[in-house]
Amino acid sequence: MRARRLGRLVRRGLLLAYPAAFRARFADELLTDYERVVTRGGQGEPGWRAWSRLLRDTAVSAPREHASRLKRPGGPMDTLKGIPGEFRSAWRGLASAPAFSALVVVTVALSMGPTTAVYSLANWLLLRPLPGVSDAEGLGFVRHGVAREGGLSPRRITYPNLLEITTALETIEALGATQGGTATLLWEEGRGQPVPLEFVTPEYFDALALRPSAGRFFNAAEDDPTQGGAMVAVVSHSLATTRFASADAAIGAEFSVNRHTVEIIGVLPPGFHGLTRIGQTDLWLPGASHDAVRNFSRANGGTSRDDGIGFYEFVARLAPGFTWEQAEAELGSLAAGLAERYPEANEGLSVGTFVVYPRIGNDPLRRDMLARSLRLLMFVTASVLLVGCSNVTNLLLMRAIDRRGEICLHKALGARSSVLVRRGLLEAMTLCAIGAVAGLALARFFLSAIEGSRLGGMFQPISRVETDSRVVAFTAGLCVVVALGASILPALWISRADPARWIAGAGSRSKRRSAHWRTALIALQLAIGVPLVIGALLFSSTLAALAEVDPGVRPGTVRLLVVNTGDQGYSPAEVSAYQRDLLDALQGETGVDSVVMASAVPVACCAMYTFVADPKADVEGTPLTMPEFHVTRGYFDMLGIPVLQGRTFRPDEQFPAADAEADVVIVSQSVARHLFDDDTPIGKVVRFPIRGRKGRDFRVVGVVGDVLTNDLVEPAPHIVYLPFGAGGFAVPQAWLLVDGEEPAAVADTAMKVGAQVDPLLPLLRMDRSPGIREALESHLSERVLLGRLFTSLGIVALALAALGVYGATGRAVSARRREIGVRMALGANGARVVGTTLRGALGALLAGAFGGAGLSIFSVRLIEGYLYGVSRLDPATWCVALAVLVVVGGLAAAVPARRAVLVEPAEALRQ
Amino acid sequence: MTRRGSRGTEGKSQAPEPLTPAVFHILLALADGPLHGYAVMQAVAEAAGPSIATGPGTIYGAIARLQDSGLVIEAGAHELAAEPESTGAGRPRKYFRLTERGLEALRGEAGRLTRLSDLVGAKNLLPEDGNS
Repeated sequence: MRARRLGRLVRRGLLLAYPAAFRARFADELLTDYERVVTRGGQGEPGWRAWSRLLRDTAVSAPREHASRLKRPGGPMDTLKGIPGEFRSAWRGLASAPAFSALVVVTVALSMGPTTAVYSLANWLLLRPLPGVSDAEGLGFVRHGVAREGGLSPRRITYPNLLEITTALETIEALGATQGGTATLLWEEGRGQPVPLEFVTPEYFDALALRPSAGRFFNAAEDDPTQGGAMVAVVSHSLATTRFASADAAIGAEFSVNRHTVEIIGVLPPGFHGLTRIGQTDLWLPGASHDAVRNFSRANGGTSRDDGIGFYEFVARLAPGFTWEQAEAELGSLAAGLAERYPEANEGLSVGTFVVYPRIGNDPLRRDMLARSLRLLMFVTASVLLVGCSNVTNLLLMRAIDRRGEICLHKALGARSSVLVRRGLLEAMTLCAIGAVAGLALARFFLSAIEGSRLGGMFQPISRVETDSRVVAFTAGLCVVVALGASILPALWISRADPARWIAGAGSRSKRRSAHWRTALIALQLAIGVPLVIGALLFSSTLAALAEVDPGVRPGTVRLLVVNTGDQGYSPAEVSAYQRDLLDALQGETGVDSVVMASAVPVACCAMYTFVADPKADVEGTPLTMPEFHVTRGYFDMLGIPVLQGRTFRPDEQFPAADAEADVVIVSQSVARHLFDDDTPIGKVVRFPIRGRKGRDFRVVGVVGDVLTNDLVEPAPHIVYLPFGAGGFAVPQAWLLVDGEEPAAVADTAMKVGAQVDPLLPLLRMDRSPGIREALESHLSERVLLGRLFTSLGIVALALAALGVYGATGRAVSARRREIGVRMALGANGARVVGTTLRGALGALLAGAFGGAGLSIFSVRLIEGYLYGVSRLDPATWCVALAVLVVVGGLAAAVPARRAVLVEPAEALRQ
Repeated sequence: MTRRGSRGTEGKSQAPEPLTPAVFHILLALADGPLHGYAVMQAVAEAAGPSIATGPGTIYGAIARLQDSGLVIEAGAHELAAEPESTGAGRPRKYFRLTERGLEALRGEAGRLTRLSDLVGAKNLLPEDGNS
């Protein structure tokens, strides 16, 4: 019984394979015959064979019936064949209304361009795999260190430990270690050039599944720490091809890295410059060659487990079937095992932890900040897109209403609503497609505004953002969504247009309904514009407040260059001698007004400073440290840092002899307050435990003004200034500050003189922040960018909304022309008529203002982190924003409303 | 009727196109009088053997296309020699019969096959004792 019921169900199920029309025609016959085949017809053959015949028959015949249905006259294929004709018809219709078409295209371009730009940026930063990297989904960063607030304090994994970990790992297919840095690269002849490099293990390339453009990558023998690592290099495609005719030609070539001859054995794929999108690495050396290349010698060699060559950054490829959580747990347990087996050598491992960051391409510790910036950009552009969409809907709806007669006539002659709706959709699609293409071009313009800015706290600014097929596909998809979304209301209106009412001369019910919809759409546009206007005003206030911030230095025309004697194998005395020679050589150069050297520069990017412990820390129980700036004479004058008390350093106090005891110090105003309260500190002795040498006394000879270091919105730090090279300490990585009337020429002179003093030691020019002024601007760049974006897109949103108000009020005046004429004839005054006409627009304005204020309460939270000197709920800003909205909307409504007063009663009545 | 459809009809009236074996066998089965789908299926299976697919879906699909092209129509109750059978749902089964055009197409195809057979016979291609 149950089998029969099941059989019947299956037979009915088989029927579903056929098109509905076929089922309607033959369902009874088929079901009857199925039963016969399976029961009586199957006499003499097993039931399963009859069933299999039925299934085979269905599998063959059902697709044939579907294909036949598609091809039949009037079927979907026929409909598709008719589309080119309908498209031509739509095109002709649009060509006959050029103003309408142009307005829609411009609106779509203005609203889609910014969205496409932000998608391009997100695609470039987050989605697009790094050039040459295969299967990027399974890749992630791994870092080792001690957890602290806001990140990790790095702890190295030495080669012996790394070998044991990678041998035992099951969850990770390949774990490549990497350590970044810079080195001086020198070709056979010519001057050295600073080049960003990475020391890596061979697994680095395995994990990334990179294929060399030419040559090969390192092998295990070349990365053997017991042998000191081979002097072989893999270089970027750009480095190879700027020097050689092709990547292949670079193989076997030799150059010098920090005075060591290195042979090129491989070239990476074009575009690959390290593990992040904004990476700039050009050179990869075996990790085991780290100490040799950096001219660094360890007491116990580079291979020891406790203090050998090691890494704290890794790139990992997850093994199939495992998760990142499992990988992190396994790494942790392996490290714990090592700490247990070799407790004395692995103190760092016992306190350290492995942290896994899925995905590569951007700095894992700054992802949250980057995501915050991108979210904000998406919010702004999505707002404009929404405004644009509602505007296009409004325009399409008005066009449909204008063509009521034509639509009703077509319907009266037998045209189906679906055909008319399809024609409207084709029109919208055509206009949106043209607008999308223009939007793509506009996106390039927006991207060029974003390029060069540092988003999300990035160290490097965004370079040229490349668009790809994914962006084009996104734009095409967005175009379809916009066209479909904007066509819903007009389609409803077209499908409900009633020819009988039109022929009878009656007004359309849907026409009245559409007026409500249009008002609602305008209110929506105005509401979306409010958060953008408020955001623009808040950013403007923030930038004004930041412009008032005194960084404590005079931007002037100072040029900054980096002197990096580290990794050159110089002794401290040689470092100081070189720096002294460089300063002396530059002093007499034409055009150079002043030149100083320092270990750190206020507000400049990536200040290179070390710290001294706070003498009061023990007293107050606070583990405070203070930056120590080693500076040569003239530093305070050049940067305009005021000397508040005492004096600056004397020439004999800088570059003292190695055995001379430096005993003078200049402190910043905040240090003076902190250490000496309100007493005058000059002449007082303070004990700074500098670099572990506890109990060293310094005599305070001066107090200078406070300066900001890395961020304009944080309070000025306590800074201690020491004479350059004090106590026989060399400052291997220092800033060279040069000043003159022609800043660019002065920087060139410094580069030239640097090369003369030591041809193998190039100075590094700070291309992106060549001076203090540029460094200051760089700190503001993200806020400036967001402020400009809010302002420009706020204007676009307001303009689109104003256009909607203008159009709707104008239509209302035209539609009520006769009624207005009657009123005027009956003695109504102009103000009353204008007031009546403005009623609809005022409703939309009020609804937009209230709705916008509501939206803004939530949206301003997104920008709160960027604000300075102004609250997100600043009443004045909100009032101004709402006033701007009301004034712009009011003006847009008043212009057509004024036309109502000009209606001649006699003429209107005659119509 | 589309332009393409009318051109197809004109073509048929001038020189009937060759019929597919399945269509020929269905028309042949209907040459004896109106039949329902299952009877057509059985007749085709008996005449053509396993060389032609005779599942219900295939047969009704072919009949639908023959109806659309005007070679076959549904027979009225008065055209049937006996009471029509019923479907599982209790409704009378659909019977199909040839139209004039269907008969003409069948004759045309039969003539073509006969000529072909004569030609093959004249060439002595087949062995004396086997003509299958």
